[in-house]
Amino acid sequence: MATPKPDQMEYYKHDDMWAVDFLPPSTGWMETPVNFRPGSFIYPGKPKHLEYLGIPNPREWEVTADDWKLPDNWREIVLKTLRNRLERSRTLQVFMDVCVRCGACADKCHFFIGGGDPKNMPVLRAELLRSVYRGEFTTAGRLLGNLVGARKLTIDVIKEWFSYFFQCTECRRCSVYCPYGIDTAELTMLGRELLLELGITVNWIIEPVSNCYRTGNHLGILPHGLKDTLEFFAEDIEEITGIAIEPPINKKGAEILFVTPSGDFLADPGTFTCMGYMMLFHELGLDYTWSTYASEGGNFGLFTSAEMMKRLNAKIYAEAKRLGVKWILGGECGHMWRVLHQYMDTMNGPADFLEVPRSPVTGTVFENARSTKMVHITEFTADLIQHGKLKFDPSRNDKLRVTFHDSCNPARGMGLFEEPRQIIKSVCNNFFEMPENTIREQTFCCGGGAGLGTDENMEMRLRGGLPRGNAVKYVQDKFDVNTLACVCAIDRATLQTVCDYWAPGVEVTGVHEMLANALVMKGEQKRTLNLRMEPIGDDE
Amino acid sequence: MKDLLLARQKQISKRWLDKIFESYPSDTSRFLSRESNPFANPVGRTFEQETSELCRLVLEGPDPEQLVPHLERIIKIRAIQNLSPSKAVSFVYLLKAAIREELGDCLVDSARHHGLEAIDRHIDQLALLSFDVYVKSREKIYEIRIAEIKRNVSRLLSGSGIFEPSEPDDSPHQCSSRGSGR
Amino acid sequence: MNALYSLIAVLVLVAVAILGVQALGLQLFFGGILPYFAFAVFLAGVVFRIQRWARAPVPFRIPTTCGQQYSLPWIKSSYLDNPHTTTGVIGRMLLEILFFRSLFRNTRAGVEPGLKRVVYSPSLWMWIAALAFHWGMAILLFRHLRFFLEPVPQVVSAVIWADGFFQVGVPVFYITTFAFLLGLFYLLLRRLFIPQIRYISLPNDFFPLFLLLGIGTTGFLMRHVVKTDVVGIKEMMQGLVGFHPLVSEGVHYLFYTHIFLVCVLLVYIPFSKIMHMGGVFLSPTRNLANNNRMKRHVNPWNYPVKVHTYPEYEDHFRNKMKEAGIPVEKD
Repeated sequence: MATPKPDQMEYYKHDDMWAVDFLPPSTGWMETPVNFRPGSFIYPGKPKHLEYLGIPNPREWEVTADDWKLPDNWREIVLKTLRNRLERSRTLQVFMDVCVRCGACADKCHFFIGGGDPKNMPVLRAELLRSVYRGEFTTAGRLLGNLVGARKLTIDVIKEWFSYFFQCTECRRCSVYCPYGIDTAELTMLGRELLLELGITVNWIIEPVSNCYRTGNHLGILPHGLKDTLEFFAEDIEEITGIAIEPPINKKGAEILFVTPSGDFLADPGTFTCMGYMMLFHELGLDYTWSTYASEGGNFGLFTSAEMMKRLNAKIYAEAKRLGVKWILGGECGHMWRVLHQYMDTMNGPADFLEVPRSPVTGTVFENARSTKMVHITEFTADLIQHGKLKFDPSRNDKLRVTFHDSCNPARGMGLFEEPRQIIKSVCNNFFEMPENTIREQTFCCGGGAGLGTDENMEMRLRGGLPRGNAVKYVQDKFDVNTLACVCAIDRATLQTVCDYWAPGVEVTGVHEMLANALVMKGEQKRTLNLRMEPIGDDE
Repeated sequence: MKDLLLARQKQISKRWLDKIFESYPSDTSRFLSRESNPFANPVGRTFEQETSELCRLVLEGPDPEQLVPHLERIIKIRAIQNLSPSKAVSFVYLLKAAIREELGDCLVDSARHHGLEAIDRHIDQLALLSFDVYVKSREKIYEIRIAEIKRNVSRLLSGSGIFEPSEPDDSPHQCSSRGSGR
Repeated sequence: MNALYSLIAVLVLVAVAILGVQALGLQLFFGGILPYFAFAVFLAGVVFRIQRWARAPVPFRIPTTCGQQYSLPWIKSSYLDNPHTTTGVIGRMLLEILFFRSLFRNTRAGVEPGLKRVVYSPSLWMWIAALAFHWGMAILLFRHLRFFLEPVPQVVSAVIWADGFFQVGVPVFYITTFAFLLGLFYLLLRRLFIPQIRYISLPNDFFPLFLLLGIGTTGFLMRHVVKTDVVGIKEMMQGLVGFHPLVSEGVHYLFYTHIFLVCVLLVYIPFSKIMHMGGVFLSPTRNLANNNRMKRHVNPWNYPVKVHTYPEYEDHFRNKMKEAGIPVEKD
């Protein structure tokens, strides 16, 4: 008879239940099977999205089922793809070969820290792939097998990959501590590409990808829908400030194309950040335009495959060219900036039809973006503030006691640390840093990046969000912090949830929401409400 | 008996904590017990702090109102660690074992054994409380999950035509919500 | 278990060498033939591995940025942890290779709240041990040049003098011998006793440690315990270098064991993780400048992909766009 499970009554009649219950399984990691428990996995991608995008092997399947309905030649597919990816990337070859398993990364992953599953140690996450590489591609691995950490590719390995490569947020924190700079994000991307060839992905990634391909943004907002949305925002802004704003859309010949993640069109509190941009641009009298075709800065292709990333990203340069703008400005977003900063120019450049970005307000030339021709909004705004072009009343933010969360991608894929801080310090009076080993390049992920930010895996996300939540709780207790600022749309959605669980009472805000609340605009009425329609002062 | 326990309180709570750590995979338990920075190792340090408080309260004769906040901080973590409900609250019973181990030979004396029964009752009480707290934590998870979905579609006005309608076969099971700050 | 397999393997190797020399009289084979073979395999293997890596394309520029980027003139950029120039990258790589910068990153001394004592994380010890081991080995190898070169270059003599600065014992004990052996011991104990590390360790993580320990121990014994005939050894080494291998009489069998283990190591290196010594130079998260938006990085296999073009998009949504008053290309 099989050992009873905790949800069967027999389990509790088991005499040695207590003894057994407290002891962890002592099997080696290769012998420990994956346990798919609700709350710890994301639902599979629906076939219609895969078909639309031309991804092979679309089908209905269930994570908890024994049979994942893989194609007959699944082994060949995976091995062929793996060989191909290795051949075309030194990065992957080196990362496969040089790890010495020193363990420096082991306790740096937020999923390991919060959940304690050893396979979430970055070194083991990578070994999930390396073991197969050794077992299938190296002589030593074929001959000596387990002795050199090699194994064969089996269906259980595929399931393990699915579990753990969709339990990594590609945040690169482990890469900071690795003496060889091994970046687990690269290996997670590789693992996901291999699975994709078998038609295995999660719906929360592939549906936005399919939407973005068709409608220009992850949410599937249609052109007139975007216009309505921005007009709703403009109405709210008028109510708050008394100033009427007309958002320009698909305007040919504008100087600047503005691109931001579409989450900010729909999800609170991102919407308030979006209103913040509109107010700033209006105040500056900026000649800019929104685009309905390139209405997404984010790129879930990054979480799918390099090819998909390129397919979605192509729209930004194409639209800049069609509209004839001079340069591109990008809103607050995390993974969007990983793509724009490290991939866009390589994939879809050169952007020789654009000009080197120059702020029309201050005349500053953004030398650091002279090839890509795309500037981060906080770089743009920090420059305005430095030149005294904006007038603030920081006391409007006096109710806020603020800390700043460095988002993984701008932190470890760019090094954007001081720009947002300069803005925050100019627009509010109470700013407090979280502990040193939880910010800047050592920042902790929200637990929902890289396409994990859905709700069916809430437990997984709360585990991953624990280290961040813990640091927030610390400043909440110590400095009465009640506001967590960030420059990432996924953060704005997921960190609020993390805070609700680990540090209840802390609200998440975008940097440009705070800025717009403090911004003194020409011809505005006396502000009594903030962008959330809440009273500004203590007296109603 | 009570004096004896209070005198050994520190050792007992240490044993209890070790037992809790041991219930994690060995590679994890080492990390939990060794890494001392509370930000690098929030789980280990929270457990350390809260078990020692709980241990003190239980030995002194517990007051549920005082117990709950400490219990909450531990169970909040256990509730999201992929543990079955029984396992998530099982750590309370480890305190019984910790006390018996620590006292060891002293327990032969039957009078003292009697004293232990009182403590056992306190621990049982703690276990019942922890069940309440566990359920509360789980409810909280569902609550914030719903709150997040609502936030994510806050600007979605039905019939506004913002969205292109999805193809008709949008089956409800294993289907993600739209939105969520993409 | 993994450790045991490796230990047994190394012990078998030691036994092979001792038996070969003592029972079968294969001095010339171990001291004069095998080294050529091992060196050839080592050289060919390492060159093959490095050139294979070097020839593979680097599709994307993906440095891990560990400090403030270079952006606006009044914001001080982190020149070494987030370099945007080639000199910065060289500086970063030097720090990484010579001083294990990244490993140092997770060593911090902190006051543990409540306990009021300074706590060092275990990784500080790992950093120290790794430095001691690698630097010890580098200097120790350099010292060995005195066996191969005649006359011994002054710089080698100078290093030998400095290394034995404390003038303890006869013959003098070298500082690096201890640094090397202690560092090695720590790295081994770590793998054996920290469950987290033991869990991820493979037999081929233990094997090189035991092998190096064997090499170090035989070397130490030769110099300080059996005090073997150094002149004879030098003659043999000179013979090897001059391609006329010979066997000096009276050289202790430990010497042959030492040489044999070194040969095994040389052959083992190209097929193992010890190739990290070459790989560290090629890691794209460290050896590329964070100048992505300044200078375009070219991907050699960048192929065209299927995209949803603007005309296709407009065809799909034209009516809705027109109704909403959004400008379109075609009416």
